[in-house]
Amino acid sequence: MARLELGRLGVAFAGPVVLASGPVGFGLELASVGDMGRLGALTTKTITRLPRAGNPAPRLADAPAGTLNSVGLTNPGLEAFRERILPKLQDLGTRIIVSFAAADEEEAGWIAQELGRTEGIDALELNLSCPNVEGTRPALEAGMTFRWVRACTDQTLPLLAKLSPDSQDIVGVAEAALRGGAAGLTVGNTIQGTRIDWNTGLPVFARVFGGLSGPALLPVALAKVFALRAALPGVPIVGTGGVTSLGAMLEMAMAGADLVGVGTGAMVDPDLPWRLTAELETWLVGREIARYETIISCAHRGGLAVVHGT
Amino acid sequence: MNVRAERHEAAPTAGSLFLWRQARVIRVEGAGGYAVVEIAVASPLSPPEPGQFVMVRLPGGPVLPRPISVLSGDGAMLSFLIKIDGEVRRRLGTARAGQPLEVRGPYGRSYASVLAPDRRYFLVGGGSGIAPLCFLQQRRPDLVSHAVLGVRNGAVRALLPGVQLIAEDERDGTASARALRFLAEEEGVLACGPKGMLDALVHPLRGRAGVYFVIEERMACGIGACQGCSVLGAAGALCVCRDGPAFPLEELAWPA
Ligand SMILES: Cc1cc2nc3c(=O)[nH]c(=O)nc-3n(C[C@H](O)[C@H](O)[C@H](O)COP(=O)(O)OP(=O)(O)OC[C@H]3O[C@@H](n4cnc5c(N)ncnc54)[C@H](O)[C@@H]3O)c2cc1C
Ligand SMILES: Cc1cc2nc3c(=O)[nH]c(=O)nc-3n(C[C@H](O)[C@H](O)[C@H](O)COP(=O)(O)O)c2cc1C
Ligand code: FES
Repeated sequence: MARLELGRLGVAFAGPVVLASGPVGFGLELASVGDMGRLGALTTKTITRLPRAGNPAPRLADAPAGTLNSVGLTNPGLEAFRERILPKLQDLGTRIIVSFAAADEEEAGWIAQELGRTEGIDALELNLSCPNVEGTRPALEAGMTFRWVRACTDQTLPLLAKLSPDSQDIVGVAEAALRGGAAGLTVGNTIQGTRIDWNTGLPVFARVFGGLSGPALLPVALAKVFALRAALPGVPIVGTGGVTSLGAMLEMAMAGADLVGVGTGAMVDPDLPWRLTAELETWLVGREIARYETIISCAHRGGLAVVHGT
Repeated sequence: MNVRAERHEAAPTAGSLFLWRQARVIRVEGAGGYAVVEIAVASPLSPPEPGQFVMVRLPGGPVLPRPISVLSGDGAMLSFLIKIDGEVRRRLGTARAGQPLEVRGPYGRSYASVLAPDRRYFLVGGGSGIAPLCFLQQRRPDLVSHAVLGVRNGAVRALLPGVQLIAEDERDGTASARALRFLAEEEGVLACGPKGMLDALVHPLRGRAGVYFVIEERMACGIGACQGCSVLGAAGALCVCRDGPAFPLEELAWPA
């Protein structure tokens, strides 16, 4: 599988497919679907310092070509994660990216340090962009993003900042994250959406707003990844949003994503990450492209014609 | 499609529980706002147990698959009782033979694995919630003492020959009222139906041992991963797809 391998963030990934944080929980259910060692990485469900029950039901709604969720960071908390879950993840044979969130930057920094001295973690992902919890999303604003990331980089693991496609100036926010010490960017989280129950005339979700994911999000995520890649050549990007097919994965890579996150696609179709990996390999072989890595960002450099020329 | 030949395929492996299977509608019979839909699954699922459900999606349908209880079947052939209401159920409940669909599963804990084994159960069902209870009656009559299965429209009887149904439009009253009237001290209760039916049962049955409610919630993964189906219980979040859909009443918070 050397064709798919790539090194980013100081970590060697077996391939570009990364399980995005949340839709597949801690990935343990998926472990019996296929060999996790063939995937690039597993990003855990976002963990918080203390356990969180999450939001009231209903937590899911349909969207045209997508889904809305209002899960609200349901997780067992840092201690239970470290003691009960992380040891099981180590047996999966893939790279482990631990996603975390906090109430404020101080707490975020504390969690980052705790995780930083825990064995068996390859990278951290700071979730600055969950639309389903109380408080503002730090990723909407460059100043906050800088302070939160800065607070989390007094430890040795590479840190991905998870951004929001909802932010007005995502390039400015990304630059702030990099100034704060982020090693890379995950682009991005769900975007805010809602549905109204026409029988009651009330919002479907108790918190009114949920997060839109799935195919409907693809063009939005591609635009953000493209803009960030244009502004920030060389910064590792995990492109996430609406990838449910080989074509979408290729687009994401060509727009500028080094690694490609798959969330909703794997949630509704648990076998998808493995199919995408196999289909990508076949596609590259068919095109006589020796390494996946060479197609990354090719939309910025003259397209596949240039890839073949190299 | 040669169903008999397909039944001889190798037994499904653990991982295959998660794979979407191609299936086709074999037969649809509708009456009274419901339909029994029989499907043939190309590469069979593990045989479902009463209380389990499968995730269903239709070509061109919504991204979120729908959980549907098994009414009967063995994994190669399955039948469902579908309430003709909403996008997917309407398409499925009015489909023609040959309509393609996909299924994965079966998921959820079987009733037999959840119910306390020391007693027999009074089944209370309403609407499409009668489907898994019919399956239990058929497969595990030893667990069942009585059953009151209610529908709005008596025409539904034509769909379920051999099953005794009460019908609100024939002045039979509601399943919950009738169950509360006839329930004996030593019987357990297993209730599956619309929220209004469960609401009517909660107060009279609170504090009684051996009472189980089947909870419906929207689902995405069906396998306990996404936390989309979680409901707040008496002592924290309950994952309906993995730990349910049947729960002891004392674990549930009400109003849910
Ligand atoms: C474990 C389990 C087993 C189940 N088994 C069965 C079964 O055997 N048979 C069965 O028929 N059902 C069953 N269900 C219920 C079924 O899965 C759900 O009702 C599912 O949502 C149906 O999908 P749908 O696309 O048909 O309807 P949906 O489109 O989800 O609509 C459901 C209802 O909501 C209404 N609705 C949709 N959007 C809105 C809106 N914006 N405002 C107001 N109303 C709206 C629809 O008109 C409809 O009445 C089960 C559920 C669970 C959890
Ligand atoms: C049910 C669900 C739960 C999610 N939980 C989290 C989470 O805990 N942390 C996080 O950073 N993102 C979470 N996300 C967002 C995803 O990681 C991803 O960024 C987003 O869904 C877009 O990708 P997709 O279209 O492939 O799903 C969640 C998404 C869904 C649908
Ligand atoms: S539907 Fe995903 S956890 Fe139940």
